[in-house]
Amino acid sequence: MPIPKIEITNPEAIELIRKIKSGEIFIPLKTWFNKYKWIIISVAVVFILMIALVIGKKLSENARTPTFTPPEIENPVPTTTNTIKSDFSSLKEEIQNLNTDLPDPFIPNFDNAIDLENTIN
Amino acid sequence: MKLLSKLFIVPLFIIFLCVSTQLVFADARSDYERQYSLYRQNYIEYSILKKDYLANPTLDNQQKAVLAAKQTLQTRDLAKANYAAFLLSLCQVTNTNYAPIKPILDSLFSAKAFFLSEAEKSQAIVTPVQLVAFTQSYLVDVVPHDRSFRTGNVACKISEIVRFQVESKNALDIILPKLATPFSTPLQTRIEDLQSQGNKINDDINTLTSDIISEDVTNIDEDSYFNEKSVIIKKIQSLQLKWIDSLIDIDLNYAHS
Repeated sequence: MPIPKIEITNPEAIELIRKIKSGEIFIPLKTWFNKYKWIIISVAVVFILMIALVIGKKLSENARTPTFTPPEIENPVPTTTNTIKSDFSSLKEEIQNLNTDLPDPFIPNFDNAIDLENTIN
Repeated sequence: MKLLSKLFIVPLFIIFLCVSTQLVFADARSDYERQYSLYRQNYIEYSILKKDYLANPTLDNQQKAVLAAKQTLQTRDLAKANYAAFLLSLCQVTNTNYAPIKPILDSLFSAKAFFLSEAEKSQAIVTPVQLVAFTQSYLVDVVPHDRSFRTGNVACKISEIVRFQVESKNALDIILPKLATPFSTPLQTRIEDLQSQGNKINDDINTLTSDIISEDVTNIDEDSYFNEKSVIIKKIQSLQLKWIDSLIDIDLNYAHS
């Protein structure tokens, strides 16, 4: 079945098609792009980097390196020695704690010669 | 119910006994310390007023100086009496009833009575002449009582080491029935050694006691007197430690097996 040929008669449409064909319609767009070219490129670079980071993170999470933990070592159990304490150890401590220094208590110094005759040094 | 009340009363009584012993001891010490600090205060005041009087011998200054001297005499002799009481409390707290030490305790009792009497006597002083007469008489009479502080000080240590001897003897008496009979030869030797060493320590203590009672300390400097006695007490202490170590060894190796 033959495709019917469409004929455009609308003058506005004809004008628009002419502009598209000649590239006249893209001139303001090109001007705007040239004006903000470096900003657009920088934003694009940052955006690509962020996407790269996100993708990298996702990949690293999925491919986690296995951690090797050493096998648990049993806690050393102290050897319990059954020490028998004598009932007389306290007496030994008392003897040890005896202060052998003399005088204990200290003998205070008193003036035995109290009168109004001698001069006081 | 009766049993319960007994269970409460007996520990309460024991606690009361312990606390009361501590209180008596603390009282004697704090009484002496308080009285001694009073004496120091009064002595400073007396020194200043005496200086004033010697520089400017007016009747008013004389009166003030005599009053200050009287107060100082009173607090001095009360401080000495309290010091004697403090030494007595230290000697008696051990409850050993060690008879050879009795003359020293008696001399402390006598010193306490002397100082209390002098503290009262000094309050009759009115003039500087009476003050001089009092002090001259005091300087002669006080010598043996002041010396009793030296011997009393050593006596307190003796009563402590005597208490250790008594407790050590009790410990041996407790262990002996626990040992398996008949005693093996090494054990028999060790027990005999303990008994002979105990007797030797007793002899050393008796010698020290009789020495401090009999020796003439007139020309002996206080420092060298105490150093000498301290060395002897240290030696007795080391013998007692050796003795108790030996006893503990027998207790652990023979009485507990």
